[in-house]
Amino acid sequence: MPEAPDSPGPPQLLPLVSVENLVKTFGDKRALNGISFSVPAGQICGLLGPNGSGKTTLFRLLMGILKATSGRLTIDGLDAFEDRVVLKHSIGFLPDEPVFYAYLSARETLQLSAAMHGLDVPTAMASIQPLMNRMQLSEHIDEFAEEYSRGMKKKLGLLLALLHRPKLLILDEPTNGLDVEGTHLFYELIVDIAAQGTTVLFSTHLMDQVARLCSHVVVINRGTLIANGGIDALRSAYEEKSLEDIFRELTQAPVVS
Amino acid sequence: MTDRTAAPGFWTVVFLLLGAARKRGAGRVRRRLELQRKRGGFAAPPLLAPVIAVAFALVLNIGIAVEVAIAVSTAAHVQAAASLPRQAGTLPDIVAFILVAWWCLMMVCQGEELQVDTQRPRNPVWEWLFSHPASPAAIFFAEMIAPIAANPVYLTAPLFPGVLYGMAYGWPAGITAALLVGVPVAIALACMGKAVEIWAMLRLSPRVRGAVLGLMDWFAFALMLAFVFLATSLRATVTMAASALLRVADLPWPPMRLLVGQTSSGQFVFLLGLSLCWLLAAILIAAAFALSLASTRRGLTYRSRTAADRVAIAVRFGRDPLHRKELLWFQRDGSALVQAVLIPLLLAAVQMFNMRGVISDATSAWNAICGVAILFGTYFLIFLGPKSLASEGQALWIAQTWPRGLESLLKAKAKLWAEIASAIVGVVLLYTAVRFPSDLGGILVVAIAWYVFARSLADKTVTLATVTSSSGETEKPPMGLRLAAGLGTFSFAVGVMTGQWNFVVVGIVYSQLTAAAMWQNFRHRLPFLMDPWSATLPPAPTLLHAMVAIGAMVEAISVLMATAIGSHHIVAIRAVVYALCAIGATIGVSTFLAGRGVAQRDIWLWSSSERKVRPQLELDLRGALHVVTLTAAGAGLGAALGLAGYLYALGLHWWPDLGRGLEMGRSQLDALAPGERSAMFTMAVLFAPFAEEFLFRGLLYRALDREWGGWRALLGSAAFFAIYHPVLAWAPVAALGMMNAAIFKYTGRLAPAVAAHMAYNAVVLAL
Repeated sequence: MPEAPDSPGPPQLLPLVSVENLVKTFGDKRALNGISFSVPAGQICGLLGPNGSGKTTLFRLLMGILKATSGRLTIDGLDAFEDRVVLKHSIGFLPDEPVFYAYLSARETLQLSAAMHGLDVPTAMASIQPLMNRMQLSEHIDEFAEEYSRGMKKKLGLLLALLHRPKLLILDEPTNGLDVEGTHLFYELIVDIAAQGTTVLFSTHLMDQVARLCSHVVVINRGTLIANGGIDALRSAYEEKSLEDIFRELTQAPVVS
Repeated sequence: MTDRTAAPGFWTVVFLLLGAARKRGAGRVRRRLELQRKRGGFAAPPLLAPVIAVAFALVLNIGIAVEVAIAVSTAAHVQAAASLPRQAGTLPDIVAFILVAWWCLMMVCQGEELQVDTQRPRNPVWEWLFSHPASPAAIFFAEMIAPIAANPVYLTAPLFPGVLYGMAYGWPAGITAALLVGVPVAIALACMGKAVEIWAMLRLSPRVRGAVLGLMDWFAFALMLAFVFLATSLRATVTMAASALLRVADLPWPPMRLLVGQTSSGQFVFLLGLSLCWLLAAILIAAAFALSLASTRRGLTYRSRTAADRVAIAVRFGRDPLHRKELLWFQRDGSALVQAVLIPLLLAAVQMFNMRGVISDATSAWNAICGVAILFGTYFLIFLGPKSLASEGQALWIAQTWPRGLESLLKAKAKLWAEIASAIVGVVLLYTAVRFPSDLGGILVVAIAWYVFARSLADKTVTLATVTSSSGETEKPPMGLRLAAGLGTFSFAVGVMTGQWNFVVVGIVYSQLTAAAMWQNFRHRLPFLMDPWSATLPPAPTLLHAMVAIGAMVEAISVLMATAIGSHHIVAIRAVVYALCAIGATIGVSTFLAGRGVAQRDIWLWSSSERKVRPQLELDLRGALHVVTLTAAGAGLGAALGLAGYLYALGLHWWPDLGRGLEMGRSQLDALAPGERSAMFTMAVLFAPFAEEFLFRGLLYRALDREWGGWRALLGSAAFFAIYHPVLAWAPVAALGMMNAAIFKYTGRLAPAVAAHMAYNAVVLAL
């Protein structure tokens, strides 16, 4: 369909992340087997898949830490590997189990990261302060980050990822290790962040999380894409079954390559 | 479903866990060998490594026992010879106490594996172990004596008392003592080491813990090395130390001879020694268990006492945030001292010990002392650089979320390493300045030159940084890169030490350029640090290609010239050999690069987008005319520079010493037969310029311009060109190098530079 170049189309239709026929092999092991999908800007996208399905590999490819064996992976129109340096300005990343420098306090870690992103440190710290309060990290901010509990480390990791106001937020199992209160806070934050225009891509094993937050779902299994699309479309395609049933049905079906 | 059986018995659990510990140690060795094989290097057959380890441990323990015996008898002789008014045996007791305590400390610090690397995986799975229906006492006991199963040094430790008893009572008693005394002592020492480790893991904050565990590793290694060094001059050391030891002889030294059962009357009683050793071992084991129990009482993982661990003053991260971070690491993390100072200090000290013959008489002149300090600093940086990412550990992911995170991180490390090394070297230079106050100026120049050199050396060695994989093995960078890092590393130190100042300049220039070359390659490798499967070679030709080609050429010239030493025709031979080697290197590197997809025109023409002026690549009539004009202009410039070079040589005659040197070279030239002269002239004017412009401008300058750009690249390549010439010719040759580099860059062609070089050589030789 021809499109006028200047027409202000609905922003959520422009893909922020675009994956085309992505293959990643480690020696003779195939981690990703030619997957294609795209995530529209401003959406909350859940990445589902059983253990060892290639989710972390996909994240590392998005971060430019790994290079795709073949296929294309673009973020905001830029190649995830070739343009990895520029892209770091617009990606925030929270790993599954964040580890911090043992000799820096949480505040110092945030300050360091802000400086390394080229931000004005006091301004960046002031802008993150409300979020810090909401996470109840403010009173522990001068403690060594490495001595935080697992949940607090996750919160600090999220602060680090949001410090430079990224366009794309990548979260690897973000609520893993959080208590009920913390999980709830995370839900609220993710919705808020997406409402401000940031695209959120997160992996999880919790179906109710996906049902509650995501507008878009990508399911991969053994390196192959199984399902991709709006959550409502997925639901209706599977006759209104619960998401958990759909997931089990999808991942246990024989993989056709 | 299997039937539920009863919980495993005490000894079943102990043997199961000891087997696991042994496999852990053997597995580490096996994986290291596999990696070596994968890289294509030499890999010993699988059984050889453990056999060597056991043999080494055997020699170590027996050797130390023999050392103790010799030291004690030497001490007895010294005391008898001096006929001191003291009770006989005082000095032997003191010496024995020092050496035995030394051995014990070494054994306590050994741990499961001897390795001077604080990043070794220490991942106690205590929670998991205690979740099994096994007796906690059995788990604990197995954990405490696990080092014995894993580390052959403990397995062979019983030989230490065995040898000592054997010397006192004869060999049958020695073997008995090895079993009856040695085994409990070895267990006691292993338990103590493990208890300290458990205490550190559970009761210390991560920052202090790293320091304690690192210090243990360091002590194990350092004390062992000290025994090896002591063996080379044992008697002399004991004799020398005797007077100092006698001064403290009134302290309550324990009567060590009782441990081998020697009573004060000189009689040997086996059972006395045996029971005393048993008692000491029992006390040590009890203390070890008490320490580990006290450590575990408050839970199996470390919990901070929040208030105490708050950071008092939050620092600001301003202009150089990563350097600030490294300084904080050095200041707050206890393991920093071990990793960044003690370990490289020890390894550098070992190298200095190896070279003791060369440096022993280096105390008479200021430059000799400075040279030794710089040699030490050089080794220090060589050992420190490859460990650069170890201090990051699992927090490396943070740097990967920053734009250019890893590169700036490593550069910041390099800066800190250079500063630490310079502080150490600076102490010696300060001492030298106090001893030789009249040479303060020279010392200052050396200090500044050292810092410049150290920065580039550190930059170079951090490119050899290794990343520890999740299974704990580190993958070393390829051998070729490690060799390249060593290019010309020591010429600076040797130059200062021997007062050959041209070597100092060569060392600094070489170090700067290799650092640039290594970073050019490393920047290409850096994105694949975590993804070796995708790594490709950097696009040829690189700076390293140019440097290796030039290095190979110089090497070949030196070897060929060495065969012609003493010949009357040395000047002519040098010219011919030089030209032949230069052409050989050019053809060799061209062939190599052609294999990597680099055509001749890619070197002779500079059409990269970096340059603003695009040369005409199509050779039509106008283009040809253009090239001829450029070449003629180049020749004119070269001739003019040659004239300037001649005037410079005339100017040097103002200094009689320099003038005499020049005259000597001139008279050698004049003495040549006409045939030799014309051969030399042909080589120097018609052949050498092609090869030199190809190597120094076509390859080196262009690659350096990519790395440094602007004036720095121009100066750097010219300096690198100049250092291959006689010192007196450095200035005009560097000027030629700069001019030709500029010609190459602004015309985009090498031909005018070749013409300029030919004209220069012709003018200089003709005048």
